[in-house]
Amino acid sequence: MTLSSAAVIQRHPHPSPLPKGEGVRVAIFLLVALLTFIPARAADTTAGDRLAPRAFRAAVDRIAPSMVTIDTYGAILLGRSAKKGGIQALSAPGEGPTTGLIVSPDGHILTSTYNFIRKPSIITVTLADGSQHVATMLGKDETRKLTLLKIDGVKDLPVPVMAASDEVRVGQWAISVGIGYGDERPAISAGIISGKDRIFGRAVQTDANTSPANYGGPLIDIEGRLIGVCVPLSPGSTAVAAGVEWYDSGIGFAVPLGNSDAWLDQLKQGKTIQPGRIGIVAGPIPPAATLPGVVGVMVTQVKPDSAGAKAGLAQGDRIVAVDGREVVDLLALRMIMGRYVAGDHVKFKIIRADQPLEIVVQLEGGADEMPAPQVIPGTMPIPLPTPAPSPAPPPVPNAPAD
Amino acid sequence: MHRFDFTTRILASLLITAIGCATFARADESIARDELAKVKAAEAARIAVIDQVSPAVVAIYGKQRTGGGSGVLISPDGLALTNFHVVAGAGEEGLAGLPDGRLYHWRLVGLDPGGDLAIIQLLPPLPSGVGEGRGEGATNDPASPAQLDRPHPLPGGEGTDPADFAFPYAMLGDSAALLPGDWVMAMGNPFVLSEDHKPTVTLGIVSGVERFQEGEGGKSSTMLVYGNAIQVDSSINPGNSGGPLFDMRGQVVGINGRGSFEERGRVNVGLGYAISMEQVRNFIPDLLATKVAMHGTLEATFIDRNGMVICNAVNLDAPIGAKGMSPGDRLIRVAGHDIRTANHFNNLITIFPADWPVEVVWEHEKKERQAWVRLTPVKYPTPAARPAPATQPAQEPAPPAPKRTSPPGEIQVPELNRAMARRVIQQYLVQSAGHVEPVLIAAATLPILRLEGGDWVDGRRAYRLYMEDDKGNGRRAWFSVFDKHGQFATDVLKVDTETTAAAKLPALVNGADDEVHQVVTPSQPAPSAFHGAIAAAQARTVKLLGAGIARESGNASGLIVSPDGDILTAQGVYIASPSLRVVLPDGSAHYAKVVRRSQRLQAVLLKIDVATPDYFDLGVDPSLANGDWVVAVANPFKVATGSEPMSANLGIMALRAQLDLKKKMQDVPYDGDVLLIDAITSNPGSPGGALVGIDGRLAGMIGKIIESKSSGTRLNYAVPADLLAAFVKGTLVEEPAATVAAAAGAPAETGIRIFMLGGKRAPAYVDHVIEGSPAAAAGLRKDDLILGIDGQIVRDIREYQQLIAALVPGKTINIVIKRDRDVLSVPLTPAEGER
Repeated sequence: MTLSSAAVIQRHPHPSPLPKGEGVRVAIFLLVALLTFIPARAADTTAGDRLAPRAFRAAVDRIAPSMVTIDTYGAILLGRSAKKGGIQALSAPGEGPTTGLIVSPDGHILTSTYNFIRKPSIITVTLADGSQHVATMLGKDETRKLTLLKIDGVKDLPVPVMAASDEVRVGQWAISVGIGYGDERPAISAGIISGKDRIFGRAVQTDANTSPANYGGPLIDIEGRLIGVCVPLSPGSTAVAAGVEWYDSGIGFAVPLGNSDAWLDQLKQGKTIQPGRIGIVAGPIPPAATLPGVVGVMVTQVKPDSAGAKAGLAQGDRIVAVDGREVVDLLALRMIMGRYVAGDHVKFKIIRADQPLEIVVQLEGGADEMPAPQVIPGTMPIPLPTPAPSPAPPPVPNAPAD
Repeated sequence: MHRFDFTTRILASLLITAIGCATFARADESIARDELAKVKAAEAARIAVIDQVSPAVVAIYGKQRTGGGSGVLISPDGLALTNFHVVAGAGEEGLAGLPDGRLYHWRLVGLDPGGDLAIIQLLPPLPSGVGEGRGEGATNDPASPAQLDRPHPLPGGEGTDPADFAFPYAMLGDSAALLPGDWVMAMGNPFVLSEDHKPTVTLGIVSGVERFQEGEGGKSSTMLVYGNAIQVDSSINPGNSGGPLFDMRGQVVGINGRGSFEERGRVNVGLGYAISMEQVRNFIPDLLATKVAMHGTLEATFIDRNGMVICNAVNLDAPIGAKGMSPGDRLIRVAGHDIRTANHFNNLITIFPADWPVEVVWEHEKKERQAWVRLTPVKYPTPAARPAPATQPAQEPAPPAPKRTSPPGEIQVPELNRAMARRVIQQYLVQSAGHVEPVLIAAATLPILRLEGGDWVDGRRAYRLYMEDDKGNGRRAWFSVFDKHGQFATDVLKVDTETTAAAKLPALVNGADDEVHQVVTPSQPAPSAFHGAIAAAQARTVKLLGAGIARESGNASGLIVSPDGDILTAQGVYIASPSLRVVLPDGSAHYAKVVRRSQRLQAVLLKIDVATPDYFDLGVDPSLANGDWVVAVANPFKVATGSEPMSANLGIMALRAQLDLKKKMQDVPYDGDVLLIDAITSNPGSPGGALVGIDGRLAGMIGKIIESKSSGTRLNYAVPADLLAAFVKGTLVEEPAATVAAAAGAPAETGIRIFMLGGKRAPAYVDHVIEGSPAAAAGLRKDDLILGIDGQIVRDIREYQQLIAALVPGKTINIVIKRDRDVLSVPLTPAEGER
C-alpha cells in the first residue's frame, strides 16, 4: 500500500482534438468563410481585433502557473446545501472551487475574502502542478476584501509579473481569469480598464466580468502581467459580498499589488486591516450659517467614546480640511476618509466659534456611515436614473436552505 | 461524470502531474511578435482616443453633491449635453466635476423632456478673490439670470480670467453612419464611482440602430421617448445618464440615457440606449433658446400593409392634411429618408422638434405628391416646467421654489436667452472675420434680441434670431448651428431684408427648395471585424412569439437550421402556445409546430411551412477556443420587431465546460457541456438566439435563463452546436451515461466511522477505523479528514454520506485525506457490508 505525498487532481478531461481530415475541412471552410465575410478594405484596420483572442490566450498562459485552485471544507456559516459540482456562479456564495494567486515563492497565496464567506474550517490550495496543500489563513484586509493564505513545504513558486501601476492606462485590454466553474482550465473574460484610483484609491475598475467565478483571480494585461486581484468592491459598503451584484454588468474591480508591501506585510503577520472610523455624524453647513469663502461640513453628532469624542471633536464643529486636503462638502469628506484605515492618525482642521483649530484623531475600526452619493434620481421612474451604489441585495450568506 | 480524478500510484501521479502542468500552463498558444504588435497598436489607438476626449466628459452633481449623473462639453464656453432626467433630479444649477479634478458651477440652459435631453452651461472658475466678494460679479454674464450665489471659492479656481477660460470639448459625430458591430465607448460616472471626476470608460459594440423605446408610462407617453436610439452593449449603468457615447474616432455619436433594467435591478444587462446625435443636433437650437423643447408630429399615423407603409389616420386640419394626405395613401419618403416600415417612420419623426420643416413624399391615388410642412407640437401630459432652482438641505426645508411658468415651446428664461443670442452673434462675428453682415454688428446692443429656436435653411440646421431696435423695427437672421464638418460653429445663413414688427412664425423658409440635403455627409462606416458575422447571423435568426405565463417571457429567439423551415429554439412556456409564430428576418410571420424536443439540451425543433434558403449549417463545428470572439444575436426584451434586425452582443468564449449539476441542482435543468461566454445573454427573449464566431458560423444556441435561487446570479451560456446538430439529426443520446448508480446489491463497507457530533455540515473527520476493515488495510487513521472520494470533493459529512452510499463492494476507489498538514491519496477497496 502506498501513500503518495501529494494527491494529484485533474479536473475535467480535455475534449479530444478534431479528427484529422476534419481539421482540414474546417480549415477550408474557415478560409471560405473568411473570404466571404471580410471586406478586403477592412482587413488591415481590424487586424488588431482579429488577433486579440490569440493574445488573450497567450496572456492567460503566462499567468496560469501563478494561479491556484482553492477548495474549502466544512462551513460554520451555512444555510443551504452544498452542491457538488455546482458551478460557482450559481452555487451558494463562497462554495469552491475558487481562485487564488501566488504572491511569494515560499507559499503566500492572496485571494478574495468572498471565497471564505461561509467560514470554512479547512482550506486547501491546489497548485498548477496539481499538488494539493493544506493552507493556513493569515491576515485579511477588510478594505480591499483580500485574505492571505500560506502553504508550507513549497519553494520557488512562480509569482506573477506585475504591470507597473503608473503604466496601466484607461482603455487598455484587461483580462480577468478565474477557476470557478469546476473545470481545470480557467474561465476568462476580456474588457478594458475603465478607471483608475477607484474605491478610495485601492482599486482599478474594469468592464471585464468579475464574478464569484473569478474573485481572487488575476486581472491581467495583454502581455499576461498582473494588473490586480479581482474582488467584489462597492464604495457604499465594506460588507464582504457588497459589489457582487455587479458581477456581469461591466463594473468590476481589481486591487493592484504595486506598493502593497506595507499592507501585505501586515497580512503576513496575521493582522486584520479595517476601515477607519471617526465616530461622528456630519451634515452640510446650514445655509443660514454659510459664510463666504468657507467650505466644509458640520459635525452634527459625536458618538460617545468614539475616536472623534476621544480626540475632542464636538457637535457644531465645522470640518474644513483633513491632512491638508480641503473638505468642500460631505462627498469630499467621505472620499478623503475612505482612504484611511483604523489606527491612522488624521489631522482635522476645524472651525469652532469662528476660530480655526486642529485636532488629531486616531481612527478606530469600522467605517463611518456617511451617505454614499446617489445617482441623480430622475423624476421619472424609467430611464437610466438612479439609485446608486445601493450596498446591493448581495447574495445572502445565510439564505434559507431550499 | 467525475469532476476530477485521483490517481492511485506515484508513478501515475507523477506522469499526470507532468501532463497537468503542461496543459495548465499551455505553451501551445503563442502569438508572434508582429501579431502582438498589431493587437497593441489597436489598443494604443483606443487609449489615445480616450486620452484625447475624456477631458470633455462631465460628472454632474446637484448643489449638494448628493447625487450624480454625466454630461459632455460641446463648446469651449462650457455648453454641455446631458439628459433631461439628470437635470430634473439635480435642479436648475449645481456642481460639475471635470477630469482636471476641479469642480465647476453649472446652470441649466434648456431642456427636452420628450427626448430626455438638456443643455447646461458650466461656468468658468472664479478668478482669485471673487469668491469672497459675496457673489458680486460672480457670473461672467451680467445678463445672466442665474444669480448663482457662490458661497465659497471652488478648488483650483485661482488666477483664471473667466473671459479667457476655454473648456475642453468634444467633437460631434455622425450617428447615421453607425452599424451593428461598430466599437463604441460609453463614458460617464456610473454609480458615482469616480473620486477625481475622471470618467469610467466602457467598451462595447453597437447592438442595433433605430431602436424605439417607449416613453415613461407606456405607448402613448410623450415624455422620455427614445426613438431612433442607438442600442449598445457597452456597459451603461445608473449614473451614466447624460454621458457621451463615442465612436473610435473620438466623436460623440450619442447621449447615453437608458438601459433595459426591467429584470435584474438597476444594473447593466447588456442593453443600453443612447439618444442619436442625429436627434441631438436638431434640438440644440431650441435648447439654447432656453425652451422646454417640444417634439414634432405629422398628425398622421401609419401601418404596415403588404410591405407598404399606409396612412390609417390623419388630422385633416394638420399641415399635411391640408396638403392632401388621406387615409389609404402610401408614405414614400420623409425628410429625405425612404420609409421602410411604420416603426421606421415613428423612429424618424421623434428626431424632429415641433415647427421643424419636413419634406414629405407620398402616393395618393397612384400619383406621387410632395409637400413641405412644419411639424406640429406633441403635447406634454402636464405642463413641463423647469426644475425648481436650488434645493435646500433636508434638515432645513425651504419654502417651495417658484417654478418657471412659461408654456413648453416658449422661451423660459428671457435673460439667459438673450445671453445665448449674443453668444451666437459673437461667435458669428469671430468666425466670419471680415465678412460680416453690417446689420449684425450692432445687434448685440439692441433692446430686443432673442433666439427663437431651431429652423432649417438651405438644408442646414439653423438658429432663428429675432432683433428689434427701440423704434420697434424687427428683423430676423438665421445662423448655421454646425459647420460643414458637423461641428458646433456659427455662420450667418440669411438675414431678413425687410423689417417687420411682427414676431409671428414666418412662412416656410424652404418652400419647394429642391436642394434640401443633409450637410453632414455620412462618414464611411468604420471597418469592424464583426460586421460580417453579425449580418450573417441576423439573416439566419428568427423572432419567436408565443404567450407568456406570469414572469416567464412569451417571446424568444430561434435559429434557422435547414432550407425547409426547420427552426431550433430553447425550451420555454412560449412553446406551449397554440399560436406560436416565427417571424423571419424579412418580417413575415408563420405559425410553427413542434417537431421534437430534447430534455437534455432543453431544446425544441420547430417547423414552419415556408422555404428558408438562408440557414445555419450545423454540419461544421467552428471549434472555438477560449478567448475567441463570439457574437450573440438574439431578441432580448423584444427590442426588435417585425423585420428589424435583432440585437448583437459581443463577448469572448470564457470556457467550454460541463455543468454536471446532477439532479438536485433544481434551478439548472440543463445537463451537458455548455459554452460559457462573457457577453450578457441571460435576458428574456434571448433564449434560442445564435452564438456565432467572428466568421459568422454557429457556435451554439443561447440557452434558457439559469438563475441561482441563492445568489440571484445568472449564467451567460450557449448550448454547443455539435450537440444541437445531433439533436436535429435525431442522433442525440437523450440520457447521458448513468451518473451515480445506486448500489444494487449489498451495501459497501469501508470500515470508516465519521465523527458525527459536529452536525452534517461539519468536515468529515474519521472518528475511528474498524479493525481489519478495508479502511484499516488502507492505512486510514483516527482524525484523518476526508477531502475527496473517487474524484468527488467532500466538503462536509452530508456529501461524504452521499458518496459512501454509492460505493460498490470490491470496486477500488481513491480516498483523499488530510493528515496533519499533508494531503494524501489512498486506494481503498470496500468490502460487502450488511444490509
